Amino acid sequence: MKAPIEQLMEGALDRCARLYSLPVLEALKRLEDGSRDMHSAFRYALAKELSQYLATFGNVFVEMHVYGSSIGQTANPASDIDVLLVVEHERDEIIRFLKWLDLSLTACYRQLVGLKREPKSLLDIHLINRNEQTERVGPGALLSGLHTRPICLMRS
Amino acid sequence: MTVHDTARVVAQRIQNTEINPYEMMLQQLDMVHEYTNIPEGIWRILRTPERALEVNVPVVRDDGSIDVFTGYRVQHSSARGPCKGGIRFHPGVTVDEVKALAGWMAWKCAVVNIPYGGGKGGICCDPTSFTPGELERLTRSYASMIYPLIGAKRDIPAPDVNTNAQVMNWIVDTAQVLSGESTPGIVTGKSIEMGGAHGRHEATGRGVMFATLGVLQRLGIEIEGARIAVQGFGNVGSIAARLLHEHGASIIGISDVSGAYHCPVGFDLARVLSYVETSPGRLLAGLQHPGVEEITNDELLAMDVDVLIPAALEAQITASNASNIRARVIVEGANGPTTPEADLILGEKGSVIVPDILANAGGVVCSYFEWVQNIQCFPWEEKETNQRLGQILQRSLREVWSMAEERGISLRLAAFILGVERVATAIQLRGVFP
Repeated sequence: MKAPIEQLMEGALDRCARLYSLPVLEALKRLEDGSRDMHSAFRYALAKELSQYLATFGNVFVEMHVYGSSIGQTANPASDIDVLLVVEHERDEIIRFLKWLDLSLTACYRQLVGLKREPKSLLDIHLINRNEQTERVGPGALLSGLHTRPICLMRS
Repeated sequence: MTVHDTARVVAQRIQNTEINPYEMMLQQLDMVHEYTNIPEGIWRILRTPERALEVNVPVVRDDGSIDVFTGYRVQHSSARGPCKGGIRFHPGVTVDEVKALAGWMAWKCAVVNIPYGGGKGGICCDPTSFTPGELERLTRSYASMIYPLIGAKRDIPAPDVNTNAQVMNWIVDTAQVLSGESTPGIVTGKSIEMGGAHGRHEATGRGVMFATLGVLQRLGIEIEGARIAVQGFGNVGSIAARLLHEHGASIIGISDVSGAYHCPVGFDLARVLSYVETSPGRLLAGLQHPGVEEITNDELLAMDVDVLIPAALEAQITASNASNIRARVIVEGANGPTTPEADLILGEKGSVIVPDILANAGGVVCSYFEWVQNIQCFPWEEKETNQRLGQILQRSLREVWSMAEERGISLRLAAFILGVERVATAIQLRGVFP
């Protein structure tokens, strides 16, 4: 496990504790208790941390949007984080990296919250190329969704 | 509780979180799925090992006490031939690790197109806590317990972490006692006197050399005068360096656990190898060489060279040093030296990475030769082993390179696709019994 993964997790926990003006350990306890508010806040905070991390990779990731339960109040301990990532080129190294990132974060999250097997995957990432973004086709159509309009967390 | 204490509590909870290796293997497999047309049913077969045996191995200690150690033998796939894979003795051995490694062996054997499936074995133990006698009893007991699964036509173990030719010799002997027949082909990596292959010691390093020559040729870079840095000067790195030097390359950076060295005009490899032969721990520490300067490991990785050969440990090229790497070509002599983050950065820079599954396959190819010689009862000269090794690795690189070019993908993904597709094809052609 690489240090950045732990930093992302710690940063997210710290962010959502500050949002609720709680000590970090109290925020962690609410996550363990399954509080939907806290799980949504934690996922949104983790998405924010993630966006800052991905921005360090130069021009690989153009935009990052988050949508779904992370921006509502409906997340539960097994919920994933729905992410749209706009990339310049869909290279296989990007997919490999994102799969590794998901595995690492999922393992770390399970350890943090004390879950054995859930969620199977913490990140549900859809890659969008420039054309899909512009034409709003494929996963790019989600960018115009009326009910779950994504929030843009990063734009390079 | 202070903020500092809180941070420590959280950090303790998540530190050393390990990714389950079997989940990682499955996720890599799922990535390949997105690039292939393998039917769903075949995919379900590919994702699961054929057999996983757990054994509890009793060992009588020298003082008369008895300890019990848990071991495994996993056969991921025998669709392409008998299963093939090492046996490791390590405290970190788990069934999920062995299952993952068995799967990776199946893809690796298929990439180089040798007629093997994939297997792996291991015992969860600390081998440093054993006397030689205890180690022999542990090995023999384990061998007898996995004996129903292994065999020259079923599953052929080999040395891996903390196991060696002596351990393989004990397994052969145990099998012979149990069967009453001479069966040298039941394992590979044996001593030469027991049917081991000439050239086995050099095979992985030689394979790295063939991979390097092949990729340089495709990129139009002359080997004569090509500048190369080698991280790790053990069995793989030192042999690859010597062989590439013999082809005219200039080895200007070398390192091992004791330090890293830079020689702008190129090392005299014969002199370096002679030094290491007699140095304490066979390390580079204290190397005296004209024009040499001591550098850091990060400086070695960042050297302005044509080829970088990481042949030490895993996860050496990371997000923190990948952007400094200037080598046009990286040939992965070690297992997993490049993290996925680094892979992303290097890919963006246009670096060409020859993946470990191909670059360090020389060892398993030579194991295949040993098995062939054992079955035929006809030992080869070392020259023949080296020549055939070159043919197989050059062909494999050509096939991987072509697929990468045709599909516009990395060599790493191309190698993985090629391996997985070959296993899938064999499963399809066989059909599902009954």
